Amino acid sequence: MKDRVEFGPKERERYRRQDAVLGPGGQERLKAATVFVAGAGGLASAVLPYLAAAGVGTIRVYDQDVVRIDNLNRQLLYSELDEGKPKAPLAGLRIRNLNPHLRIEAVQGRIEPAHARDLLRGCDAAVDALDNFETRFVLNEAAVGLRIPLVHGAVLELSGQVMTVIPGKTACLKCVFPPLPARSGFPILGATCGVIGSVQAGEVIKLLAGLETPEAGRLLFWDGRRGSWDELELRRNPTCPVCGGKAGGAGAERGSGI
Amino acid sequence: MTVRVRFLAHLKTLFGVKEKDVELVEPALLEDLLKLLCDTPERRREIFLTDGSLNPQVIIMKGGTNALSLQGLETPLGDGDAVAILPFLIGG
Repeated sequence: MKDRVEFGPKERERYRRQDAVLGPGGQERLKAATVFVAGAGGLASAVLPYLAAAGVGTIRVYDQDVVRIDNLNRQLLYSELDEGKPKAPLAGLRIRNLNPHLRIEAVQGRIEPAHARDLLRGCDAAVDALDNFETRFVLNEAAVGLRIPLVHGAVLELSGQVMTVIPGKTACLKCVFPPLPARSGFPILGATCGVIGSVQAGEVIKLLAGLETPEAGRLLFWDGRRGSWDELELRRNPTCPVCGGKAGGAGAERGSGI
Repeated sequence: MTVRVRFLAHLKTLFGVKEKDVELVEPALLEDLLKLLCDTPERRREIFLTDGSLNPQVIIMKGGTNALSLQGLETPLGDGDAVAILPFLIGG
C-alpha cells in the first residue's frame, strides 16, 4: 500500500456513512490499496461497483471476453449497445463514472501462467470473479506465491460459494477443488451473482481496512432455493502442489500482502 | 460407528435432509457410506458415474479435506467423522 493518502472535501463526504464501519484509518487504507479483479462478468458486476463505491484506490480489472447478449441477465455493467465490445474497458469506464476519485486499470486479456504473477504484483488483495477453474488455479498459484489474499467466488443456478484464501494460513483453492473441465453456458440467475459478488466485495473491504475476517479458511455456501447459508471448515492439504500446507508453498515470494 | 453427513444446496432436497447421522459397520470406507446413502437411481446418478467412480460434479469432503486428496472412495471412515457432500460450482 502507498504510505500517505489525502482526501478532497467531496471524497470525505462521499465516504462519511462508512467511517464508523471501517474504523480509524480504514478509509485511508482502502484508498491506498490496489485490488486485482479477475473477470468482468456476473460476479464482477457486483464486486466492481461495490469496491469502487467504497473507495478502493486502485482497481485492476482483467477479462478476455466481449459482451454477449446472453450475459445481460447477470452482467449489469453492460447493455445491448455493448454487444461484441471487450468487457474490461467497459467495466473500467462504468466504475470510473461511479467514482472518479479512483485509479482504474482495465485490460482485455487472458490470465496465463507465464504472466500471472506480473499482473498481481503490487496488489493488496485479489478477487476471483472468473467462470472456470483452469484460470482460477492460475490465479490461485500467483496469489499464494506472492502472499496476496484471494477472495474466491463461484455460482451455479441459485447456489453460490465464497472462500477467502490467506496464503500461509488457510487452505488455497488447489487444496480444496479438484480439476474440472471448463463448462460454458451454465444456468445462472443474475441475483445469485449479486449475492455472492457482494459478499466477496465485503470480504475484500474488510481485509483492506484491517477488520477481522473470521470466515477465512471456511467455505461459505449460499443455498438460494432455501434462502440459507452453510459453512464448511476447510483444512490445508499437506500435499497441495501450490501451498504445500506450509507458508507460501513452493515458489513463494514476498508481495505487498496485508 | 456413526458418521455425520451434511448435504448442501440442491442435494438437501435430493437426499431429503440437511444432515443426518449414519450408522456403519467397521471397518467402513467412504464408498460404503455413499452406496448406503444412494438408495434411489436419482441419488446414485448424482454421486456416481456409470463406471462406479465419483461424479466430478460433486465434491465430497471428509473433515474439511476433499476426499480426492485422501484415498477417494477408498478413504477409511471412523466413528465421529464428518462428511459433507456439495455440488461443484464453477460459474462466475
